[in-house]
Amino acid sequence: MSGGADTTEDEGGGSGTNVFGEEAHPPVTLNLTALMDILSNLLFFLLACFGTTIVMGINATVPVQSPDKSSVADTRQTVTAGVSVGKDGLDVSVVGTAQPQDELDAWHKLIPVRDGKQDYDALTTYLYTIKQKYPRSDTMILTPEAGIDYETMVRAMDAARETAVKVYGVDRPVALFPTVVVSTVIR
Amino acid sequence: MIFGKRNVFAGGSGEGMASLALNLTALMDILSNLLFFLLASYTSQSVELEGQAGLKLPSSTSQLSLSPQITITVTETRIDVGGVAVSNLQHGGIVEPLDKEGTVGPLYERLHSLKVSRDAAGRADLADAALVLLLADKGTDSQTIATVLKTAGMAGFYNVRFGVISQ
Repeated sequence: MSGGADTTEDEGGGSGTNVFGEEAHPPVTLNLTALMDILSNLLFFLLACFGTTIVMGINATVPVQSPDKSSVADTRQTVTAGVSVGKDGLDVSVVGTAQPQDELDAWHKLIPVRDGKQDYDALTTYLYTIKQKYPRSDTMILTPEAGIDYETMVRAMDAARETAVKVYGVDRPVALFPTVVVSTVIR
Repeated sequence: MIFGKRNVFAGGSGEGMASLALNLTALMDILSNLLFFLLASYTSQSVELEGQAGLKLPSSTSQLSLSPQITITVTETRIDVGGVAVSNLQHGGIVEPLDKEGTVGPLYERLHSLKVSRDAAGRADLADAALVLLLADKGTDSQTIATVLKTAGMAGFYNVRFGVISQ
């Protein structure tokens, strides 16, 4: 494929006929300059767009009072995890209606800040332990205290969403508590 | 693409160089493939967000894609709904006093009017009828976020999708 005003293209073969014995057509020239211009412009435009940041989403809900529905876990294999994000650390607790209170209280734990930062890995590990005990759980109530920034909330939601578990040597994602209810501290 | 027998460097008289033919087939193939790939990537992101001053989204590992919906934006200095400013922020806190239920009055009114108009348009039964997209600066105080969420919930938008930058 070539462009230009006076292209001479090799038709193949030494004679002026093709394999069917017909006379060869005169060479066809395509001027591709304009097409190349358009393609190049489109290409650079799209390359510039491709480099922009990709925005994703995290689903959450706010507490809603409903007379006929409750989001509190009501089966033996289900609890609702509560994570309070404070300056001292991540305070984890569980609530449920099918378990004795002392069993639920035993899960209460404060994951202290480490080197001035929240210990999200420890949060993931602890929530995975809870998930193994109550495998049908999926709801977490996130309660940020005053002075905690939004990014910390997002990091806590990331830590609680899923983890990778090795199954026969292969990392597989396991959902932990992907359903998030954002609550607030009542003062 | 052909460089003719007589180009600008060859002067106006005498014999020029022999015509040189460039085979552009391979280049055209590469350009076409790149073009279609980039076009597909460009259309895969359904929501385009405009950059705003004082808005740096937090990064997250979430892979949930966004869809167009009512957007509440919380920057360092203001709160707006769909590009319309409804409240101001100062030092991370909401400037206007909250009403007796702890909600932001102008934000509630704006969201409530949007909710009423959407319901009147027959969109009350849609899956995302109660869903709102929240784009907040990563340094925003969580209490401000909680207040905005509470206001949105009171206005009927009790499902929220936090906009984050994919890691």
